[in-house]
Amino acid sequence: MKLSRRIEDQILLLKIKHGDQEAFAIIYDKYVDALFRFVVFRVRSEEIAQDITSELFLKIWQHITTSPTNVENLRAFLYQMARNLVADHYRTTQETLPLEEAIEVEGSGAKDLNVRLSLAEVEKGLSNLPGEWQEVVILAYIEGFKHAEIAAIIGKSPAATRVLLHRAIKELKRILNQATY
Amino acid sequence: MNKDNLIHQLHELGSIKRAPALWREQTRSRLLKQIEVTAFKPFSLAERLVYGWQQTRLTLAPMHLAPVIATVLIMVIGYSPFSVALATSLPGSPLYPVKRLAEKFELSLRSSSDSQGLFYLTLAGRRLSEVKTVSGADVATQAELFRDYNINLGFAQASLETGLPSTDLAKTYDQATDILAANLNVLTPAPANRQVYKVALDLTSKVSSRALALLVSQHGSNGDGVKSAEVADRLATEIAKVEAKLEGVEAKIQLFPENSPAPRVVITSKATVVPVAEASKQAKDNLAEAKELIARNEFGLALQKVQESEDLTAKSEAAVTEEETTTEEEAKSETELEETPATETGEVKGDSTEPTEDPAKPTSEVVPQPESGGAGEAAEPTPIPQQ
Repeated sequence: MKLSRRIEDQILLLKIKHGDQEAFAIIYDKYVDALFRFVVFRVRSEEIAQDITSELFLKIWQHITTSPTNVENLRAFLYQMARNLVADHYRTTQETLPLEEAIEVEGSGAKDLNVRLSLAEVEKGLSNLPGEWQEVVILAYIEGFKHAEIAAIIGKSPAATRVLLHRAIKELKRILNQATY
Repeated sequence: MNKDNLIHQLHELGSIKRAPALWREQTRSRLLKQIEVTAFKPFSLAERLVYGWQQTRLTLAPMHLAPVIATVLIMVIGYSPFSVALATSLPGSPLYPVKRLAEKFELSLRSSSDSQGLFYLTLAGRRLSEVKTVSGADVATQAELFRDYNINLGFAQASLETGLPSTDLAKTYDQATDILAANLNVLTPAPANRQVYKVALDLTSKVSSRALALLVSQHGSNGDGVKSAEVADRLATEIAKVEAKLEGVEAKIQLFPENSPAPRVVITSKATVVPVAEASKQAKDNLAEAKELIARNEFGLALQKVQESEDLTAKSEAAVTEEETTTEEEAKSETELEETPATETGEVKGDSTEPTEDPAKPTSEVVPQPESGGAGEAAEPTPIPQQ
């Protein structure tokens, strides 16, 4: 992680700890899209993803302002919280939710139909991966996390994460190849 | 589909998936209303320092100055005779400002909070060693070094609090603060620096307690990280320290005159005020309970008891020291009054019927008694001193 971003996050965290709403709004603006994306890929419903993301930010505020321990890596912490809420969601509903709609393309006029269809297939393939495999693929290739950061989020060693990611990509390729033929 | 293509598609997927704009804005407004707070919590001094430091680093971060300047500095410092002279330079020496500058650069090269925290601990230790070499008469330098010690330890503490430190880090902090405390205890600050010295003692004890608490909690959460015997030993050392302090307190309590009212101490946990002897007994009981808890490997509870005991001991120590100082001052003022000639204090000892030194002076004119207390209160009206 870049040093300047880490320092910036630490300053924001310090301000939030003291009840600074503006700092919280900055964090919201900075991370809402990424967290929403992570959640929506996992729950496959925009409506549920919206509810979970709202709840997530409220919990982030409560945690930072009340917890005595400080957050070292904000980005990793946010995804850990998101991951926990998604897990809670699946625990309470105990079902797999259907893919609600095709990919919503914002400002994608320049993209041709083939690419869009292909992306829809990739997303479907992704949704067929087991939960943890899905997470590591999203974190690594959609959100751009490094192995060590993913390891911190999912609570595994970097080596185990690398193996997990390798297997997940292999499986995704298999699913997509099967769908094509 | 090959792997590269798939990864490219996944990147693409990430770049097009966003939260709906309307929902994003509505949620933002709703959240900000929900989290509305009435009072902004003030920043502590340590937090202000951390905040200021982070802001400076943020400003300097895009400039990429550090590597260039550091390289130049390392080349200069790396020159051996200079390096030795620099490392051993003391306040007042022409090289000392260069040494401090080099420390700042070394710090800026450390990117993780753990490594920065450890370096701050090193710097705190260096400032203490320098205090030892400074003459007691140089009050200003001594005060500055104590202040720098406090600042460095404050930063080290902040880094300890950032995230969950590893067992090794908690152990290092624990050992380092133990050494720092031992070094601090042998120092004698100039009277004008007692306050800053007290802050240094308190801060060191605070960081040490926090490191110990982390060790205990890490034993609880991960049995492989800290061994039970290790935690038990560490707690036993802490208990021994408190017991030694308590002995000192009890010795002072014994010296109180029988009928004098004993100072009282607030027991925060019980919200009561008790005589100092009772507080010290309570502290002793807590330590006994802590020992039993340690024997049962209940380290968390044992630590709690030790901390309660430390708190009570510190309060009792402060109460008896205050009492002792007051008694000493009273005794001192009594002695002074007895030894001081009447012409200096404006008091006359002995029988008031005796003639004054100068019979020409009128005896009817008197001035008010000075507020000297003790023997002065019993003195007779004083004649106006001769001009």
